[in-house]
Parts: sequence; C-alpha cells; structure tokens
Amino acid sequence: MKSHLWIALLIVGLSTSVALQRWIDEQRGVGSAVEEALYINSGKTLKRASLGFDGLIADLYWLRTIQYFGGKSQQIKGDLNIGNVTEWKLNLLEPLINITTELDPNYVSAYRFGSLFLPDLNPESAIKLAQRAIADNPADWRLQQDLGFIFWKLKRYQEASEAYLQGSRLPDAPKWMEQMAAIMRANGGDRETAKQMFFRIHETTDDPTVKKTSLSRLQSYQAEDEVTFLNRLLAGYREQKGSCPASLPNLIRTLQPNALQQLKQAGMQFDESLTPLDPHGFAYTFEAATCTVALANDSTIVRWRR
Amino acid sequence: MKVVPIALNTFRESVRDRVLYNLILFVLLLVGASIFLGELSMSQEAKIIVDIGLYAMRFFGVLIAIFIGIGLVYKEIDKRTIYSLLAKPLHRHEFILGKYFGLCLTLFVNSLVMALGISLALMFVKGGADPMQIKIWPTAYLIFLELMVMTAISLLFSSFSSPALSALLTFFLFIIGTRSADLKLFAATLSSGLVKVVCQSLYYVLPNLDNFNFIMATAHGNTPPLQMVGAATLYAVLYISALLAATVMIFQRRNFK
Repeated sequence: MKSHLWIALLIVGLSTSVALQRWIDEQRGVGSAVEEALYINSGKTLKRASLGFDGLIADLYWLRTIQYFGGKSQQIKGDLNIGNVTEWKLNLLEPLINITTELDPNYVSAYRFGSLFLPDLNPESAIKLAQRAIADNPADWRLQQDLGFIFWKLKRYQEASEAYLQGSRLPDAPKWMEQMAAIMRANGGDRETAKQMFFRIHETTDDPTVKKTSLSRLQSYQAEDEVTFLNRLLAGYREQKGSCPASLPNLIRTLQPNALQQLKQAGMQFDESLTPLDPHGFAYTFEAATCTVALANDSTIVRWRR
Repeated sequence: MKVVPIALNTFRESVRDRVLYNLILFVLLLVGASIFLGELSMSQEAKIIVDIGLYAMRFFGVLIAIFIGIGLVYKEIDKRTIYSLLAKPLHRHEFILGKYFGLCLTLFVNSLVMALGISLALMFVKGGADPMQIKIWPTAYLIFLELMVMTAISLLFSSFSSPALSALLTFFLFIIGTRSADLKLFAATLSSGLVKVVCQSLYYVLPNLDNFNFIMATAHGNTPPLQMVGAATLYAVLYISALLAATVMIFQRRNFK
C-alpha cells in the first residue's frame, strides 16, 4: 500500500473515532454530571499509600474540591446564592476538604475555604475543621478569625469573641482582631458586626471564591442600606411636599449638591439621569403607589438568608 | 584514578540512551501547569507549581535511579564488555564507583535542569522574581541526595541479582524508605521484646527517605532548616558509603568465568 493510503487511513480513523466518541458521550451523559463519589475517603489512608507524594495528592484533591464546587455552581444556573450553600447539596465538600487537609495539614487555603462554606452544611464539622486548622497551624491568626466567623454564624458570640481574642495575641495579628473580639462580645448579633466580619474576610483572603462571596455579601448590605436611606428620603419628601415625587431622579434633584457629592463619595452610584443604581449597576425600582424603593427584580444582588 | 573516565563514560552512555529525554516531558508538564493552574487552583498556582515540579523531579529521578541503576553492572556482563574492562589495570571497586558516580552525574544534570525549570515557571506565574525561586533549591538538593541513595541501592542489588529482581527489591526499599517512620511507631506499640528489637533495628538499618523530603514545607514557602540539610547530607554520605562498600565487596567476590 502506498504511503498516502496510510495517511488517509490515519485521518479517517481519528476523525471518525472523535465523532463516535461525541455520540457515545451524548448517549451516556458523560461530563454532564458532577461526580458524587469518593473512592477513598480517608486522608490518613491516602497519606500512607502516597509514597511521600502526599503534597501532590493534596493538590489534586484541592483541585477536585474547586472543580466540585464550580460544577455545583454550574448546575444551579441562574439561581446562584453563595450565601446559603445548603441548597447546593455539597455532600462531598466536607470529605474533600478533610482529605486535602489530612494529606497536607498546612493547606491554609483549604481550611479557610471550608470555614466559609461548611457552617451552612454541617456547623459542628466546620468547628472541628477550624479547630484542627488552628492545632496544625498555631501561629496563623487568620484561622482564629475563621473560627470566630463560624461561631458568629452560629450566634455563639461569646465563643466568637474568644476566638478573635486568641487570634489577636498571635504574632502579625492586626489590631482589628482585638476590636472584633470586643464588638463580638458587646453586639455580636447586630448588622454592623456582620458588615465588619465580611469586610475583614474580604480584606484578608487571597482566595478568589471567598473574596467574591464576601464582596457579594458586602454589596448586599450596601444595597439594603441604600434602600433604607432612599425610603427615608422619600418619607421626608412626602412629609414636606405632601405627595410622592414623580420619579427617583426627581427626588435626588431635590438634594443639595454637596449632599449628592457625599452620597457618591460613600459609594452610591447614579446613572446620567440621576437614577440611583444598586452596587451591581441595576436601577432601584420606585413604586409610586406605595412611595417606596426596592431592589429591581432582575438585580443580581444576592438576597441573603442568615 | 580511573573512576573519573568510567563515570564520564557512564554519563555519556546515559545521554546516548536518551535518559535526559524525560526533561521534555517535565518541561511540558510545567508549562501546562503554569498555563492552566491559574484558572483552576484559586491563588495556589505557586504552591502547585512547586509541588508538581519537585515531586516530578523526585518521581523521574527515582525511575532513572532504579531502571538505569539496575542495568549499570548487568549490561556490562550481558554484553561481555566486563571481560575487556577487567582485563585492563582496573580495580573492581573503581569500576563500581565509576558507574555509580556516572549515574549520579546524569541525575545531577537532570535535577539541575528541572530546578531551573521550576524557577522559570515560578517567574512566569508570579510575573517576576519571587523568593520561592530561591527557596526551592535546598529542597531540590535534598531530592538529589535521595536519588543518590536510591542509585546506591539499585547498584547494590544489580551487583548480585537479575535486573527484574533488582528493580523489584529497589522499589520495595523505596516504599519502605518512605514509610520507615511506621516501623518506629510499630516498634513503640509492641510489647514483645524480640519483635520490638527487630522492628527498631530495621528502622535504623533500612534507608529513611523521609530525611530528604521537605517538598510540602517548601511549597508552603518554608525552607528546610540548615542543620537538617547538614544532617541529611551526612546521613546520605554515611549510608551511600555503606551501600557502596557492600556492593564492592559482593562484586569483588563475583566469578565471571
């Protein structure tokens, strides 16, 4: 046989097998579902079998954790609510993080990821994970911050305060850790404390998912504050003029220029017509009948449940 | 000293045998990891690059130490070139030492290029100079020491057994060497005197490859303490000397008639 026949056979064989594989994948649904199985669920067993390659296996499990988390978020298209991952059915998140951290007890990113998301799924496991993180990395104050966050989420403010205080005594701990301990003890359950918590998490994490989640939470608080503020403005307008303004830009135009400037400096956004926008850039909706402002229905600002 | 020409010849032979081709695979692995991990690992790119790079250095190095090490002596006997070599004014211990250092030189070049590759990959993912680029070197050196121990083990086995059996025995020792702490733990939990003594003796006699493994700590930005690097170096020198002595003794007693 001549050489061009072999080349033709090679091309035909490969291209046909690609098409065939695509058809088989479609029939079997390969790649469409997040794998919900762990063949080995003990980090200690894996460590023994790793022949000293435990750090590399920990990385592989960490990548799988991220893929698992990302896969789940893909499945819940359009209804993303990182604020409450209970609905995500993240059954493997806890074992995956446990395996990663048992293989590599200094994997701080994995511990911190678990501390943010596990409290929604299994609070007691989240506490155990954070305590193990602290035992394995006693000099890292960020892990005490995470333990404080978990206790805060569970409304155990005294323990949260204690965790912040312990963390504040560690080398390199920032001054605000001590302040957080005091705030937590005095006003653990209030909104301002919550904002402080997420602000600090956003500031200290280098994990993009954690950063995104905490920013999302902060933007949600900001939107709530802005809605409250605009409603208060509307109430004042109505009291003064005896009626509701025709639109939100009309309301904003009644403000003094320096007041508007201050609002902009505080982070409030407006479009060209002076319609106030939420932190994601969606215009707040104005209900003339009730003379109230609310988040737009299509706004991507996350509505949180605590 | 006839050790040097034999060592250089062994090195040339391994280059001719395309042993260093594994570096291409290594570079592809690192380049792939550098490009794709930014998307996947969520700010852990540098850690994962260090892990992949150093573990790959260890993995490829152990494979070379075992599979080339077991053939060092056997090939000379199989091809009958050993007769012409030993007919020359060459001591058997010089032959063994030359073969050993020749393969160590191959592993040295291999490890050096790989460590440079890791440093470059780190420069790429960090977008410039980073302290981690320096921190990997003491760990890379310790990996090289581990590979030297593994080479001495494979050479010892290849001096008296077949390549297949040598590979198997060397691999077994590698497994035991990575888990030798278990032997000590096992001995501590035993109540029977004799078994306890046997386990304790095995712990000290068998190679403890954990002494050379600081990859995980390095990936977290720490460097092995200087006294540990010194102790590991001394341990490697002593252990390799003992293994080479045993190899030379066995080889000197071998009858090639």
